[in-house]
Amino acid sequence: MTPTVNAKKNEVKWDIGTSTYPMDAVYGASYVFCDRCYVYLDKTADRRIVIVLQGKETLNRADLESLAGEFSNELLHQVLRTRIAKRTGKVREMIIGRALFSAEGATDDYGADDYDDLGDDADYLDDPLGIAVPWEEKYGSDEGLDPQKDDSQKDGDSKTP
Amino acid sequence: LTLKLHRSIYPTRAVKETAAAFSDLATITVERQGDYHRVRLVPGQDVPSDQLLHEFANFALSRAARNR
Repeated sequence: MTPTVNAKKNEVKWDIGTSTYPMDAVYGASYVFCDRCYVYLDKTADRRIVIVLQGKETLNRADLESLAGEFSNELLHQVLRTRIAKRTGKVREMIIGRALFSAEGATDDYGADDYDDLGDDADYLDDPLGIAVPWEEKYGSDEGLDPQKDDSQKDGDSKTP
Repeated sequence: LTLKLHRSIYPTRAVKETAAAFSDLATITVERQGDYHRVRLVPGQDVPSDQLLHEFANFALSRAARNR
């Protein structure tokens, strides 16, 4: 139905069918417009939704028509949003479920409990695995510089006399 | 001041929450009348009555939207 402007009352009024616009979409659009204007909804005997928008400040006819148009656009936007949300609901649930499941596993493997063994005396300078030992100190200054060469000699593949 | 809110659009919970939120601004009574909630508002001192009525309806609608 075409919106009817009542400039004297500073309002615009029209009705819509709930088969085209589900109630969730009507609520969504109304919520968006609550800060811009006064929104009043009613239901007719034949289950149509009556929308009344009243300006918080005095609006002229063009402004009221524009307000109704913007509300109708928002309604369509909300309808689309609702449909997409319904269609992708299961996929979103699956993704969240999987993410939570993975996060639970990660906590088990590398939980805060693993760091308890270090105790309070642990220092960032401690090096129990010898990672910070210089190469020369570990393998010698000249011969140990090429680890591949070192490995091939161990296996007896070396062709050098 | 009287306001009629359709029960299928404005659920009871939303109307009750709105009445609680506006209790400092007006004396409010809500009663059931067929398919409608009939809300009676007696505004407090220095409270603009017309604005109160519209703000009440807006608040109830936003509550209904949030609770859906």
